[in-house]
Amino acid sequence: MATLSPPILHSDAEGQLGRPFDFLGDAIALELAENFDVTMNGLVVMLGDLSGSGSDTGRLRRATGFGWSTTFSDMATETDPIVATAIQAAYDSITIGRVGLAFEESFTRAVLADDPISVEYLAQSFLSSYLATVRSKLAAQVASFSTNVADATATLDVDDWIALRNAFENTTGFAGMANALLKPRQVGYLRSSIRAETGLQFPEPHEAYQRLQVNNGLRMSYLGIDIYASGDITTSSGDDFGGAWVPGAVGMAVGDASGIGDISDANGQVVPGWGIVITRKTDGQSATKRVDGNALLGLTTISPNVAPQFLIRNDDGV
Amino acid sequence: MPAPTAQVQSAGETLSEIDGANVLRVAPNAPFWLVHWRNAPGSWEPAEIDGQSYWLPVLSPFILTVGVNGFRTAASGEDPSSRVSRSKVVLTDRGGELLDVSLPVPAEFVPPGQAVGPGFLRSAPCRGGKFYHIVWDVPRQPLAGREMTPEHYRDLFNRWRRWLVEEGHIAPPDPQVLEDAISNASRRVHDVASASMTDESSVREQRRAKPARREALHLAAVVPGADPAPAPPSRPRGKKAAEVAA
Repeated sequence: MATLSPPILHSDAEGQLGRPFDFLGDAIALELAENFDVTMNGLVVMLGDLSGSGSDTGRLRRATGFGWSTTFSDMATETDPIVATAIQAAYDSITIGRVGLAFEESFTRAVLADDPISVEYLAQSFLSSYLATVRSKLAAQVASFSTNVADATATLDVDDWIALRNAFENTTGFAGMANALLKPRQVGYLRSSIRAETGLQFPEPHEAYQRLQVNNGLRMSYLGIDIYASGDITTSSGDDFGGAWVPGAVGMAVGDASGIGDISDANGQVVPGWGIVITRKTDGQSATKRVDGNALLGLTTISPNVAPQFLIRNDDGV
Repeated sequence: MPAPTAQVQSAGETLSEIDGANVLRVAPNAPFWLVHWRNAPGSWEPAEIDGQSYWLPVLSPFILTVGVNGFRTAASGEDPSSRVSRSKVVLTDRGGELLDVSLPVPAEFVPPGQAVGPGFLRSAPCRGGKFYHIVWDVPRQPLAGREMTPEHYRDLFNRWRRWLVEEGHIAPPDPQVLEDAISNASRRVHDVASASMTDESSVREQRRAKPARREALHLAAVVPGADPAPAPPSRPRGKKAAEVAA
């Protein structure tokens, strides 16, 4: 029993009659996170499903030496025999692997909690985390593009962008469409460089894109190349490893879980198309419950001979 | 409440391991190899070391994360090295030259405060795992609300890259790659000059200075370990050469 002498002060009464804090409303604000889905807009295209194939590796065949890539030969005489032409064929490979995410809580926490963040609530976030995983792996894939077109000793500028556009246009068969995925600061450096160009106006759609689609990762379009940005882009040796490619140059494959069979004992769910399997486990012995998300996915780059792709490696400016 | 320091030390731990003071406030990343894309345009770059410009191999991270670059999930009990076997095939097929992760980094190239040991890859504890980095990217705590930017020891990294070529760990470049790089550097000087036609002359010169310095660095560069007086690389020809000269 505490004695509260007059005048009764809050500082004295808080321990017995008050409370040290109170939550203002029931809402829980989510901390900022990049909610940019790279499976949209051709940044990553779905190549296929390896479920039921007997392998974790898929191949994509390519061929050339006919059609637009070859021409008829001149014949010297009316009766010269035509020599049959060879064609060339090759393939690209894609390997899928297992990724996982799980949440777990004790019975005590589940019983006493006054907030909505239960393991069931967290399970609903698996798809977002999966898409964030794809984005992260895309950034890893971009870092391994082999041909750099930018000046690695300086921050990204208009000259780099002209060089990029030239590189695409100098690629035989380039169809005119390309996307870029950069580190956000690379976009900032490019924007600054655009401002410094004499007589060059900001790209017309710049402002509109900024306002309408910033949550979708799209920052602006310049020289006909849509520019997206992600913090997942790799930084190493003082350089940012962004990239640009035509839609279809980077693809993904999954092991769709529809063939997994009966998982009702785990109160399981399958997210069709993405290969995500969600299972639940309740353990009375340790008084815990958990939810697990498993998925099989993989990304690859298609040969530049099919889909041009360029590294945009710049000094990080730091 | 953290355990008292005396107890922590008696348990063979340090206080920083308990309170997390030395844990980087960044998300974990995947380990990686360093790859040189042999003969790819942009695979060599000039850099100045002790007043001399050298052609140095560009090294890119080849990130080993499941499902990317052929890196796969191993079966239970399977030799872990099998996870990278396809990655090596992918890399070779695409013209990549893998740097052995156990390749020594001589002490003279190791940044101050970093342990001298085998390989160029290091890891630091971070939130939820490990943060992998090359020895020349020394991680540090990020500023509030900012991305972590490692302190990069560019000069030491350049010297190590020069050593890689001198010691034969990376083969000398194809002259075509160097010619391509020089041509690009020269074109940038020309492009800036063209774009600045309406500028005051002083502004024009200022804008040309940076690409001109870059071009000079390209033109003066020598291949490490090669003849100190190499044949001059090919210059832009015809109209373009005249424009560059102007």
